[in-house]
Amino acid sequence: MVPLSAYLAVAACLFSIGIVGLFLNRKNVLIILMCIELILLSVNINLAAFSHFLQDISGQIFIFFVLTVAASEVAVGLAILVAYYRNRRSINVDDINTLQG
Amino acid sequence: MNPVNINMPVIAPLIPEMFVAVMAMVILIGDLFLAKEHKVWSGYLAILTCVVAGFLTFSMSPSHAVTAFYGLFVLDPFASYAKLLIYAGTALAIILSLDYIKDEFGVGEYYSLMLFGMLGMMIIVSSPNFVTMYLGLELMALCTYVLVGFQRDVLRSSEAALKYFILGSLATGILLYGISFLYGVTGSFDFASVGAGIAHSGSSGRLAVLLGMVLVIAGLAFKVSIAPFHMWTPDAYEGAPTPVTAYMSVAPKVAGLVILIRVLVDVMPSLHVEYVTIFTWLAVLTMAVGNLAAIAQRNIKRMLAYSTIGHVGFVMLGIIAGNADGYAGVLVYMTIYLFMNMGAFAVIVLMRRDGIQGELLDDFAGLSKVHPGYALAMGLYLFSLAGIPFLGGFWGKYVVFMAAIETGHLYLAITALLFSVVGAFYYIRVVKYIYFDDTRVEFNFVENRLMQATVAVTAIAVVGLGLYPGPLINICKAALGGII
Repeated sequence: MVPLSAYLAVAACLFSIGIVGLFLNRKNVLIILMCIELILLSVNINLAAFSHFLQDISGQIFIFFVLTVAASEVAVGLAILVAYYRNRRSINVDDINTLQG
Repeated sequence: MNPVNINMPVIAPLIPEMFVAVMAMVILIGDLFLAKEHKVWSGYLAILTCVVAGFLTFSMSPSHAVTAFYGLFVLDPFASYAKLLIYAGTALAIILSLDYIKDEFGVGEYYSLMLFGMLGMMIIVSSPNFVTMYLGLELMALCTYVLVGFQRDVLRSSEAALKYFILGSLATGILLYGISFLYGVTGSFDFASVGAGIAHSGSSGRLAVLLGMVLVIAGLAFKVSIAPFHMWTPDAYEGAPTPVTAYMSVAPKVAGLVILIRVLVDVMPSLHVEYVTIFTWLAVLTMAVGNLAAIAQRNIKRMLAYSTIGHVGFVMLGIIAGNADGYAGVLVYMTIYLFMNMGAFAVIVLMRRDGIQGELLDDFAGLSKVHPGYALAMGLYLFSLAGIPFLGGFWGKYVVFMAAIETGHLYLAITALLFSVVGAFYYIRVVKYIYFDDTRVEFNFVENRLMQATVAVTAIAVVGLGLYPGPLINICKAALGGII
């Protein structure tokens, strides 16, 4: 049987890839959206693993909430990205510099 | 066939939430039937919704905690008081929007997004469970992302929304990752059960508990812009339409601080030593970032963004104190902050004219010669934000600083005092522009009775609370009945 730590390690890897991708990526905002999805999915793996090993269903229910909200979050994110693209004609991360900071 | 016995969930404590949700949808649909020149009625209806919700919450505010939906929702005096603050913040932000937003596309969506965001905050302050908290936080966050980018033809508005969205989603991910570890150790999402589970977790789950604690605190710190999770604040504040900036600066902060207190009190009492250490350093950093960076700003919205960060740093002293006085101090501080900050934003919105936003410090030069009334009000707000004695802001600082000293955080209180002196510099600099500089631009104020009334009422509140803070402090102490 696969131990709990293996699931947690996979989730931790995905989470780290998501965080690193968010900060190292200088090319494209779409990649940032993918990284955010990756972070949320790593949370779901964590919850599913814990839920199975604790024999407790509430973790799996929470996954459905996370999945649903993540979908609406990406919808809002893409809408904002489209509005931004119309104004700026670019989705390059380096071009997001009108507001200094 | 036997009748099936179904336990209907208790829903009475959610009447204000249901009312707001229904009204937000009514406005969303009703707006479609309004002609362009009558769209402002959606705004009046939204203000009415906040007022009625306030009466509902006030009339049913309980003396002890009442739970609903099998313990997924709680209504206690603490939540009721926070909800009243949230209604006031939202209603004032809607008043500021009436004139500002009337030429934008999709006015009805704007007001219903504000109400849905308010609904999210109401759910946050009433959540005794991580699932409810997460849903409330997301409802609030998704609405604010859209509101920040509402001027979709303006580059800086959509850029601010994009930055806010990316960092906000990252914070949500971090928060969820932390929650998943706390769930893994304790097997529950309920605050009280998680708290009990952490207390009994022993040394084997220690690492997971600490990781979960740090990640949950980081996620919530983002929502209330505690440094170093404040990066989004200046950009989102500057790029957003000014009424949205006003909206974001008070009500979500109240919701975030209330849920932070709830999480610390219910989930992490056994980690008190650890989180006080974390918060002490974060508070010093937050006060330093807020007050020092504000000095360099030429845009008043950006300056008020750093000012918000600085004020959150001061409020954290109440959380660090961790006793009834400290938590009551947080509520006192936020109540007074609501009036002075909303008033300052009202004056900024009133100064908007064609093409010029009234946002640069230079735009305020010579205001006193043109309009002594607004100049006086703005001066009162700024002195109050600076914490000059016998205006409202002084008592907010006084209560949290005293709470910190009583619990033995003397050096932290002294540090906070020094930073509030630094903060006084950049507030009073604006007063200098208003009173002692010559007029550089032509003033052309928006004529709107409701907004002028807002300026008058908030200015009176700032002075009144400065002279008679006693009743407010007592009300806030009574509002803690549910949590301590």
